[in-house]
Amino acid sequence: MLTIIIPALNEANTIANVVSFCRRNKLVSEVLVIDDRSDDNTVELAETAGARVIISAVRGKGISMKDGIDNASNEIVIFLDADIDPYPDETISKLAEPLLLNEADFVKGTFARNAGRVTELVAKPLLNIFYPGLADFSQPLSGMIAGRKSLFKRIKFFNDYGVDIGILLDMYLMKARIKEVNIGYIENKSKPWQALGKMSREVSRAIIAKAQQNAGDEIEEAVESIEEINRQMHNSLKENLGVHHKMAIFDMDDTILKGRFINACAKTFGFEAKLADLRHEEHDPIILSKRIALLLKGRTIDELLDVVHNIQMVDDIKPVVADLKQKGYIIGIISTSYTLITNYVVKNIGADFSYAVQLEIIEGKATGEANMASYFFASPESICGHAFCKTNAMQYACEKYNVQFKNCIVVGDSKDDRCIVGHAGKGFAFCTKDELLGKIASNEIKESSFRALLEYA
Amino acid sequence: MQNNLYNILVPIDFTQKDRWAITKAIELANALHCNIHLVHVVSKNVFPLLTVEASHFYPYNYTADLKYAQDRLHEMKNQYKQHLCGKGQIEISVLHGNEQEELTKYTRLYQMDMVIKGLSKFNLLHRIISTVSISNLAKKTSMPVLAVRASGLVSHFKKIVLPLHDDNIPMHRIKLAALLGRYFKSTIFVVSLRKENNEPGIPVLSQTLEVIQSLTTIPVQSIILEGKNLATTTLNFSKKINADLIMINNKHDYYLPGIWNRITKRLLSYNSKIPVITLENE
Repeated sequence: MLTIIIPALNEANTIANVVSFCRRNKLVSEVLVIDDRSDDNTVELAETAGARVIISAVRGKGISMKDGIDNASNEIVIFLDADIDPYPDETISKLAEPLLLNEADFVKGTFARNAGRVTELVAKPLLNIFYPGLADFSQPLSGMIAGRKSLFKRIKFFNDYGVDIGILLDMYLMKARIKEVNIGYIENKSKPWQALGKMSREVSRAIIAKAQQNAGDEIEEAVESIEEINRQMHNSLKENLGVHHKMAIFDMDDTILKGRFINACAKTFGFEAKLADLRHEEHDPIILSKRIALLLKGRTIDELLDVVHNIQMVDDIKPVVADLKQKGYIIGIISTSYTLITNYVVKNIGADFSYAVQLEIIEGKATGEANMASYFFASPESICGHAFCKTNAMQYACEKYNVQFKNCIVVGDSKDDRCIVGHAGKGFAFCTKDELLGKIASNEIKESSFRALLEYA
Repeated sequence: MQNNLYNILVPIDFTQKDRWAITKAIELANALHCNIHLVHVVSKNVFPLLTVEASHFYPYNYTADLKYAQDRLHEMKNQYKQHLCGKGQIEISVLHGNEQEELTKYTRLYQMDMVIKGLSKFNLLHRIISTVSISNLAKKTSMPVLAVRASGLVSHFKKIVLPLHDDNIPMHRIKLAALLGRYFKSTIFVVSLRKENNEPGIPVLSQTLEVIQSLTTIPVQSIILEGKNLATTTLNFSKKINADLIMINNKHDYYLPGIWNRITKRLLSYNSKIPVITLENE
């Protein structure tokens, strides 16, 4: 006789049908639902349908499976997924048959479906390298399995997406007789793409961990192969996917904001004359920035945020940013103002990042020190070569988000923005008074609105 | 602004000129890590002045030509790939149809960034027979077209001459010059003809200088030249300073002097031993 084990978590929609399906099979004497502390009424529905429910002590599929094995009263056990409804009629008999006929010790069910992305891109290549004997399995990650309890008891279950491949590998290493049987067509929902990263990581970790436990001389060679493949794949993906990524970068002062933050500070805190003198005297942008920061010494975060709060933003910045994001753009601010302020604006307009000068704040007050972030400085790969430039920051952002320059929109207003606007794929001069910026930019926006960007995005 | 060249197209006609173009393409590919596309277009016309469509009325089996071209390109690829030392590759293609149209389609389809063409000394008969001129290529493809002559081969672009022909700042040429200048550590010479009214300063010259300095740290010099024809004056100046590259627009200002030269759109490239890049748009 057979024991069916069904690990379940919030499967109220399907659990009753799955349990009923199992109980209809004459070979089945026991149906165990191992509930992972569901928030819905999975437990009640499973019990009503005739299953014995065991509440798992710890969440996770691996532990649930182990709980199922510990509680099973038959030697032959079959694991089924709780979220598949309906199963093909012959599922249980097909999985059990090789075991009952003593032709196999472990059976893996396969079913007609599109090839899983993690199976094809992660599991199979790794199995090919570490376990060529398992390379022919069509669905090594399938969760529909059957086997002998005595063998399952010798296995240490992974408690994540690596559990199914881990069981297969353990069975293989224990030299169990493994058979793959096709159980027909199943409607299987693809995992959302967000889950694929986690699944890939956990599946590859399980395969590599098992390979390391049983490492022979060939492991070093295999590791080198994987590292080389990984490097090439990473480079290839970076080169090719970069084509699809897009970024829009805004200057902050006189662009997003209808005014300059430091001018507003000067007006509020009464250092307009000092600021004008500094601008007249000092032409080195780094020293100027540091000297201006000294004027803010002792100002609290609240005072500074209050100043920016009182500067109006361009009316349509928020909807335009939302539309750009809708079109797949990463939105950033690159400014020589302060991160405290740019981050405030980033949050307000729904942008993704900001690069700016860091105003040192201790105990809620500005110390008067300004730290220039490294991304503004030229590296040997710097495209413009300027020692301190917003283009260097854009290059850093492009590298980080894997965006090509030609896919960058940059909006700026002043002489400081000439370089970054000129190097962008599409440079926009925004309500500029700088004649040359207007000539460098591919487009000029003369009204205080960003709506024109959407035509080019 | 693109920060690199990724694909260079070299139209191949199996003449001596191909070698000059490929050698220059390899120099660039090795510096910029870009791919080289060797493309031959089979367009056998019974009468050279007829279009390829007209030639369809005459019996002609182009399969043999395609096969021959394919084999020759394979040979060239094997020969030249040993010279590549960067990440770039050599791709080969044989197309069939009107040469100009096919090359234009290819540049768009495979996102070429530059076309390099070997150029023989101006020859009227050749100019009439050839469907592909520098002027037409630049116009149709909207790509920078680098024309090289045998004696124009150098392994770098240390001195880039950028002539100004009107009061507009040549942004496209500046950006390309900045890109090349960054890799070859070049000096850019912005030149302009002295105006007839003998004005002391030429605003566009100083503005161009400022724009280049805004975009890059490449050394740049501005020079006012005495002369009547921009093409010949630029050529003479470039020879004097031993320039490695001239960057011009596909405009009549860069045609060599004389009515016949204007009619045949004879750009200064045809008289220059120095490589010349022609851009269609500013």
